[in-house]
Parts: sequence; C-alpha cells; structure tokens
Amino acid sequence: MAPRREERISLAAPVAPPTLRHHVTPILEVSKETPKIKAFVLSAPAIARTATPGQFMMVWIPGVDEIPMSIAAVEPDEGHVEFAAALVGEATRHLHKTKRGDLLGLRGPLGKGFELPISEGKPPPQSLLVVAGGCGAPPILFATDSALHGDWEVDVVLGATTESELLYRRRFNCLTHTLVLTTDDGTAGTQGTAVQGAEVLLKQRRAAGAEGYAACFACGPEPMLKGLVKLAKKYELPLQVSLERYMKCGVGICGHCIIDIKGSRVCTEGPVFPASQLYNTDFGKSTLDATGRRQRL
Amino acid sequence: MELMTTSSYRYEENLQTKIGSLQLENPTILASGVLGVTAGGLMRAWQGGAGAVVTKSVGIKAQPGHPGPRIVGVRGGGLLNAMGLPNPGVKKYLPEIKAAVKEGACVIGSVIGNRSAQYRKVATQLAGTGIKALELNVSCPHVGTFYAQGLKPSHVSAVVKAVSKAIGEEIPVWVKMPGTTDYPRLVKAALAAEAAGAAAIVAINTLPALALDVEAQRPSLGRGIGGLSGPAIKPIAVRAVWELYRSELRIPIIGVGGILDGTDVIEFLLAGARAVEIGTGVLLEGSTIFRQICLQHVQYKQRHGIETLEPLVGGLKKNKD
Ligand SMILES: Cc1cc2nc3c(=O)[nH]c(=O)nc-3n(C[C@H](O)[C@H](O)[C@H](O)COP(=O)(O)OP(=O)(O)OC[C@H]3O[C@@H](n4cnc5c(N)ncnc54)[C@H](O)[C@@H]3O)c2cc1C
Ligand SMILES: Cc1cc2nc3c(=O)[nH]c(=O)nc-3n(C[C@H](O)[C@H](O)[C@H](O)COP(=O)(O)O)c2cc1C
Ligand code: FES
Repeated sequence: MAPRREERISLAAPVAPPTLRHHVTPILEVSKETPKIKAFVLSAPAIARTATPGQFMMVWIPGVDEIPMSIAAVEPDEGHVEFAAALVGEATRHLHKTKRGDLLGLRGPLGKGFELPISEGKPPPQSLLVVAGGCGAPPILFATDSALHGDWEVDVVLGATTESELLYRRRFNCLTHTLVLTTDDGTAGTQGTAVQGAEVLLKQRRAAGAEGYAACFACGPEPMLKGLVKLAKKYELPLQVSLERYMKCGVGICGHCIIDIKGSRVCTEGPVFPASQLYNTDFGKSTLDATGRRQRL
Repeated sequence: MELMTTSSYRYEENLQTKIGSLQLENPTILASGVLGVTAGGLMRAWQGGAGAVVTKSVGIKAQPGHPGPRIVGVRGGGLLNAMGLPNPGVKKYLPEIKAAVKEGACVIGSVIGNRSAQYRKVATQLAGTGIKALELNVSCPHVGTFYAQGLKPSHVSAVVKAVSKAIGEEIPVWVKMPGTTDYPRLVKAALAAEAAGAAAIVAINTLPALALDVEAQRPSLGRGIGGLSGPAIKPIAVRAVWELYRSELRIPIIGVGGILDGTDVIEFLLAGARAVEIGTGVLLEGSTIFRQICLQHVQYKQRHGIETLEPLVGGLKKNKD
C-alpha cells in the first residue's frame, strides 16, 4: 500500500518576498564603461523575469552598505540583470573594487517604472523621446530596449560632461538610428546640455510638421530634469522623469525618500513620476541627507 | 467598502478613545520610525485614517544611523530592522512637525537620548510645536545601551521626571517600553514611569533579534543585530499589555506590535490597551490600514451590539473574574 501523504498544516507565512530579502549571488561580469562608471552583471532570475524599465534594486555590498541602483538591462531567459554604478563615495568605492566571483546581494525589483502610453486606435509605430544625463543612462537603456521591442520608434539624447563619460554610447548606437550626443565640453556631439539636445529634436520635428512624441522618459541630474520639465511644458510633451532620493529601506516604510506633503515616496510611488505630479513637491528644491536634514538643491 | 481619504469621516463612527486627557478620534496611531521623517510621511498616515501620528524619534544631534541593509523580511511574518535612529536633530526637525500640525494632524513627538538632560532638552524644543503628547523612547534594541536602559526603573524614572519638570503638565508624557519577554521587569519599569509622572505606557518596541544570510554567511543587516517587528511579535506584545494591565499600573496602556487588522486591535483592547500603534502593518497593508481597521471596528461594534469601543478595554480581566 502506498504510504498516505501526510496532511501539512502551515502556520508559517511564505518566505519573505524578494523585495524584503537579498538574493546573494556572485558577480558574473564587471566592465569598466567610463573612467567613473562600472557595469555589473549578476544572475537574479526572479528580478530578471519581472523587472520593468525604471525600476531599481537595493544592492548590498556585504560588510559595507546597501545602495539603490537602477536596472540597466535584463536577460529574462538567462536570468541575468545588469546595473551600472558611478564612483561617488564609500559604498561605490567598495563596489568598484569588487571582481568577478565576489558576492553581492540584490533586493527587488523595487518601485514603479516608466509607462508607455497605450495607443488608442493609433497604429504603431509611435515615437518616444528618451533623455539620459550622466549616470542616468542605465534606466534609459532598459526603457529604450523595451520600447523598441514593443515596436516603438525611439529617439535618444545622451549627455555627459565629456566624451569619455558618455555611458552606454555603443549600446545606444546599436539600438537606435537617432542618437543625439551632447557634452558640456564639446568633446563629442554638440557642446551643451542634454536638455538643449532634446530641444533640437523637438524643433526639427515641429519644423518637419511631424506629430509630436507620444511620450518622453528622462533620467539624470535634477537640474537637467528641471530643464526638461520646462521644455516639456513648452512643447506639450508628456514627460516622465526618474528621481533620486536618499533611500534607507527602498520599500516605503522608513519615509526617508518622501517628496511632498501627501507623502509620495520615491522608492514606492516612484522613482518614475509623470512631470505633472511634481508640482508642489520638493522636486528641484530640496532633498534629505542620510540623517534626514533638508538640503537645498 | 469605499475608502475615504479625507478627514470628514473622522468624527462619525464613535470610535473615540481617551488617553488620559487626550481624546483621539480613533484608537489607531502611527508608530514611531515609520514614514515620519518628514511632515509628508506623517500626513500620509493621517490621511490614511490614523487617530494620531508619532514622529520619528529625534535626539539633540543629527545621526545618520546604521549602514545598510537596514531592513530584512523573515519567514513567518516578521521584519527585522536596524535603522539606527537616523534623525536630523531636533532643531532641523521642528519645521516638519509644525507643518504636519498646521495641516491638522494630531502629532505625538518621539524623543530619544542617552541621559535625562538630553531628553529634557529635546522635549523642551518639541513642546513648542503644537504636539499633543510626548513619547519617550527608552527602548531601541539596536543602538548603544538604550535597550537595557529602558528596563532600569531608576533610568526610566529619572528621564520622565526631568522631562515632566521641564515641560509642565500641559503635554502628557508617554513612555515607550522595550520589547522583552521579561514581563516582571517590564512591569517594574512601567510602574517607575507612572510614579515619576508618566501619563501612559506604550508597549512594545521591537524585540532584540538576529537574522543571517546563509550565502554571505553573515548577518542580513548592516548593524548585525536588529529589532523584530510585525505579526511574529504580536502575541508577545499582547502578553506585555496584559501583564501591565493586570499589575498595579493605573495609567492607560497603548499596545504596539504586529497589528495588521481590526481583530488584532480588538485583541489588544481586550488585553487592556486603550489605543494601539501600528508600524510594520503600514508596509504590509498600506497606509490606509488605519482607515480599514476603523471600518472593521464599526462592523465589530454592530455585531456585538456595543456603541463604543470602551467596554472592550480590559475585557479579558472582566471575563476572567
Ligand atoms: C532609485 C535610484 C536609482 C539609482 N540608480 C543609480 C544608477 O543606476 N547608477 C548610479 O551610479 N547611481 C545610481 N543611484 C545613486 C546611487 O545610489 C548613489 O550614488 C550611491 O548610493 C552612493 O553611495 P556612496 O556610499 O558611494 O556615496 P556616499 O558618499 O554615501 O554619498 C554620495 C551621495 O550619494 C547619494 N547616496 C548615498 N547613499 C544613498 C542611498 N542609500 N540612497 C540614495 N542616494 C544615496 C547621496 O546623494 C550622497 O550625497 C540611484 C539612486 C536612486 C535613489
Ligand atoms: C523601520 C522601523 C523603524 C523604527 N523606528 C523607531 C523609532 O525611531 N522609535 C521608536 O520608538 N520605535 C521605532 N520602531 C519600532 C516601532 O515603533 C514599533 O514599536 C515596532 O515596530 C512594533 O510594532 P509593529 O509590529 O507594528 O511594527 C521602528 C520600527 C521599524 C520597523
Ligand atoms: S526609502 Fe524608505 S520609504 Fe522610501
């Protein structure tokens, strides 16, 4: 007689979700993308399968700290995720010292990403404008790749201080026909800001009598985003921007990343916000430091 | 049922409770350290239906807190945290409290310190902001010696006396007790707080705990040790409230620990709490958890044929006698 399977009664909740506990895994690949930025590839199948462009992870450097990083690319079939980190301080200094095989912990995917508008009755292709400044390129790379897979046309503006800091330049080049480069010092593309680069494209489109972009996604330093919000108003461009705030939990419990009196959390309701939701917020004005002190931007 | 997010419903449901002289519109309070770093965070919970909101614990000087990871979820409904009491220092925090008070929220100020003099200085500054009570945090389980201090009657007594003397009787002083299963010690410390002039006891803070990551073979939190919260600690918190209630303690008790819904709150009321605070529940159920609980209480009252929540408070004792 086959043994009867024992009935199982479970009081235990399922294991904590991947947003609340780290998937600790060896680094598969580290590559130096610019003098200041390194990209990291790791195996994290649950994140790779579910992440959408604009979402982020909390990256744990064991023994050091845990910091938020946008997802730059995913390979759902292989289960790989990629992020790119600029060297700015203590945690990123340690991160830059890690090599292939070292362990990192990943928690995510977190937050709400970019949303492509649903085209009502309009046949594809529709066009999307994306604008990346400095180390804001990672989520924009992911968004570009994903929009192209959805048969969108994507025009890219990639800006940096100088030519060598143009992050993911080659990969953007492979993805799209329209790649406008801007550098502060004029070493590549047009001298100027990514906002100016975006305006050139918008003007061209207007002059050619073409329909406006159906959406614009942007990530970069806050002054750049502020400039874009102005531009978007002028050109009636539906803009979504990805914000950065100091994050202590990444899941909406600590309150450190809140940007308005309604309690909008960058880690949960963001990091991507429609520009229209940024009036009456701290956007472009102030941010909290590690202690919670308000700093003017 | 439709969830309303304006404050118009606040007075309509007969859910009021009194903590000494302070009347709350309902017994659900946002716990300290959750959302409350800014006025916006406090308002999020207030708009979510809380009867009051407790600020982040603030000290004299700005503190960055512990390195990450600062939270980790554990199987069985628990959350471990080691935030390390990050706070901007009381001076920089005053505008946030004032803004929340101006928006109409019932704000309770939470104070952290090492010695009585620090508590007194912070409390004095908070007193001028329009807060309705002060909560003295003598109980963080992952920062310095705070945890052990909270179970020492002499320390608790000194802190409460120093603060009460400095701020007078206008603002009631609540004392937030450490999470512990040493109930006799907890009761002794609470009695010391009462004798020193405390208006209410808040129990409990997180329980000292540890979680390890087996791949990294090290603690899951940056600080190493942490404090456990969430459903995993609820029976301990209910027991703590019960032990306090059946002791000689006469001041009101506010229960905290693992509350996710209305039945959890009723459990705390039956054990002797007059109100409850909710922390981890905000993460697990969202910031309208307060409103949801109130709606469940309206139904509970109907089912049990009672007009207010008052007859439930300490019901366990009555039913036992
Ligand atoms: C949603 C989000 C996505 C991000 N994506 C990327 C990315 O793809 N690539 C990239 O290079 N950077 C990204 N960042 C910024 C990155 O998290 C910080 O540069 C990093 O945390 C710096 O840590 P540090 O210890 O090296 O620097 P520190 O010396 O500690 O600080 C330098 C500055 O970094 C910021 N910072 C430090 N710690 C945090 C934290 N816990 N949360 C938020 N900001 C912090 C602060 O503004 C601080 O002033 C992102 C930030 C956020 C919020
Ligand atoms: C992320 C986090 C931060 C906290 N910070 C504080 C704090 O600053 N001061 C305090 O008195 N308690 C703090 N606590 C403890 C809570 O206020 C509460 O006592 C505890 O979490 C138990 O309740 P819960 O199970 O509803 O979360 C914190 C808890 C968490 C989860
Ligand atoms: S980082 Fe904690 S609430 Fe957003």
